[in-house]
Amino acid sequence: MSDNIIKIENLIKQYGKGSNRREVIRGLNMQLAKGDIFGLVGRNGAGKTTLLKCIAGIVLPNSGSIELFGENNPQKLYISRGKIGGIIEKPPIDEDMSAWDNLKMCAIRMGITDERIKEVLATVGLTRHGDAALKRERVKTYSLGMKQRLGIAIALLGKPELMILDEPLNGLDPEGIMWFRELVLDLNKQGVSFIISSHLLRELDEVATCYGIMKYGKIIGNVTSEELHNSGESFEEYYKKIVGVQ
Amino acid sequence: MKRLIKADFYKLIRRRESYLLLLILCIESSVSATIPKTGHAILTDRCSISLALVLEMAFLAVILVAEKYAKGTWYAEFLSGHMRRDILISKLIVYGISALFVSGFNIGIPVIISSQMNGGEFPNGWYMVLPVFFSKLLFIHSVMTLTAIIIRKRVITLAVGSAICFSITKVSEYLLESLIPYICIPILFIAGSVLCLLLSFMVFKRA
Repeated sequence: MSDNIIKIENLIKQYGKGSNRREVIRGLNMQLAKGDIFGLVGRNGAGKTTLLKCIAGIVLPNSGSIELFGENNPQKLYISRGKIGGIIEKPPIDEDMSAWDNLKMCAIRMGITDERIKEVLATVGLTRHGDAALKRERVKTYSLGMKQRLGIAIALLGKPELMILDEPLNGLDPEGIMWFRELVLDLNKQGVSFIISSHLLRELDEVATCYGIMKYGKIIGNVTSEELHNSGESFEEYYKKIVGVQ
Repeated sequence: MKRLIKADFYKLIRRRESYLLLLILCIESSVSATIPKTGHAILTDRCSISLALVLEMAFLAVILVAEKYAKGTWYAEFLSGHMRRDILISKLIVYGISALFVSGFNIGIPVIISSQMNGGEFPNGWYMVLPVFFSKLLFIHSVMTLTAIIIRKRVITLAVGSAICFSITKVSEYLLESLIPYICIPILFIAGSVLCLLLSFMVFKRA
């Protein structure tokens, strides 16, 4: 039995006030063990991105507790968040700067050397564009897939123990999707855990070790790939059954 | 926090717009300095906040704060293991130092040019006028930060922040400064700045 790196209890997040108040997360409970690849799925507006934002500390929950890497004191969670890398909604890129400058800026923030920047650039396959181009060309000239790769490079900079990826396959071509799958499995072998939010159920099926299905701000279905395998059901079938899709 | 400050300075240095706006500010300051003035008037004139300086300050607020809301990229800073409070403090420090740097151009160039035109004579009474200028600069710094945190959009922050700061400083120059003693003006601006900075922290902490 592995240790939990994430433990969330009775999480509630509301946006707005008074008559405009909207409860996006409604008493959500979740656990993630070290080494897991957690596939998070659900309809648009189910609260997936808000959940990821709560974990990353971008938005603060109204109530409930979040425990990250054994730390549950909200005042000290920022230290644990240093062990997380991720892409939430959009890659954290300044499009008016070059890829190198974007990585360098994040590296300065995390106290990381240029050697590590070169390593992650090679990992995400951006070195083939040449050093000069990486330092000169503004990111705004990049394709969506290249921006996504750069976002993943930024997420990998700090050698994270947990990666949070919100729709990571956005903009990736078929080759990019295969590369991403291999990257996830390779990093997972090195001990990196993942939370991957995606609408591409079959792609998720290739990598995830457990799944959470969100609806109306709650996880209504929780299953491991082993349980699915034993039941002979595909994840798509399980999803349809839980969500109630015909 | 040192790393956060270094990273933000790196960003400002690497953005081309920073240099373009600095160039515009230098041109504006040089042109304004060619209008002949003598003695105290040189500094009194420069202690009025120019539109170019307000726009430069608004641009800095956009690039350091509003842009991150607009692009939804704050999380990269939260995920680098820094406290939320430190993230905002580091931005305020970088913004403050950059503001002092650009205002140095805004005051320095005209003073040097005007002094040379007047035979190298340095204006009298500078110690009376500079506190007014820097308290106004601090006020713009805090109002722009608060505007960027509340509005969270680039163009609207630039427009609304500039409009608020420019109108308040101009009202102060034309009405307040002729009515109340010079010593009171910096106190009023500093009080306003403290209020805006406290509000900025409150809003930023509540995300």
